[in-house]
Amino acid sequence: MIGAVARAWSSRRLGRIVVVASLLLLIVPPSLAYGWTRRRYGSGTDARIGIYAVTNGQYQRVYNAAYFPSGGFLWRVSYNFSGAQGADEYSYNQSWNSGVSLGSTGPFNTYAQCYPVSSRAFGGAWNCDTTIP
Amino acid sequence: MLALACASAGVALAGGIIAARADPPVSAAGQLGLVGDSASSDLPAAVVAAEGAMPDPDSMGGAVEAKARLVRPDLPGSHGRIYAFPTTKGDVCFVVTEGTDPGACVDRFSRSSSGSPVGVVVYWTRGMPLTVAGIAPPGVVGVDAVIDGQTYQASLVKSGFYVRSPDLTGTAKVTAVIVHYRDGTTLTRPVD
Repeated sequence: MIGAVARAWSSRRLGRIVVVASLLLLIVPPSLAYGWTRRRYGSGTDARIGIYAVTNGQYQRVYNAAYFPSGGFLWRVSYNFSGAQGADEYSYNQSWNSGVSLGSTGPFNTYAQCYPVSSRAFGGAWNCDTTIP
Repeated sequence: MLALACASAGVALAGGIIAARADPPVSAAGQLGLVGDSASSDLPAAVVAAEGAMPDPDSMGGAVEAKARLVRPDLPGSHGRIYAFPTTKGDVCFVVTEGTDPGACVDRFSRSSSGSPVGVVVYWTRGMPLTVAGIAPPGVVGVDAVIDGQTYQASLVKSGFYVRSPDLTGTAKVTAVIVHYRDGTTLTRPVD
């Protein structure tokens, strides 16, 4: 009798564990499993010289990327230590190809920033994403 | 018939830009041969991170991680490499594994004046010279970069090209990329 009760309780507990584990897999984004979260820090529907997006804080980052319409316009993404556009930069990458990105900042805590450097203005949605711990 | 002949012969554009033949109507992934190939094993962490970062899920789809490929094994004077992977929408993204691992994505290789004849990144990290690198589709036999008024010939191996000179700093300005094709034509793409 006692053994049957113990087996039933054990079975119920195992079931709960399976349910909770399944829910966690559904709820927790994969990025959290790696220890970082994707964060959109800039977006708009047109761009020109002077448009500039920067994060609020300095962190170690896994990546920094800008997405914009394909059409030959030049964008820059960078990491810097001042938060001001193009000042005290640690690293930058610019391209006319969309999805222009930088990877890990290594041990450095930096701002992430993105901005167009083309001399022409253009329409179309643009977004800039980076990671926070 | 005449139109077809004109398209085949190529069209010369003003301003030193020469575009030859119409662009093939296939995706960048197809042009680079990343469709149907097997995967590179042991991808570096930078490539795995790029697969999560670079395709904008809203417009470019997701990375097809199983088809990531090493497209340039050895960069001169560097331990870096160039990897590429397709997205679910047929774009090609590439990442250079040095410095802060710069990368970009190409939706279609194009010879149009505002298109992308090659995938290109211009990058700099403290302690390193400014560098121009990228990926080129089949048919490209050479790439030059015009930096501060001087022309630098890229090292092109397989599908990856790379330009670096120790005298280039982060303030150097890349003004054009010149692409040489097997058919003898040349395209000068301003970087503006």
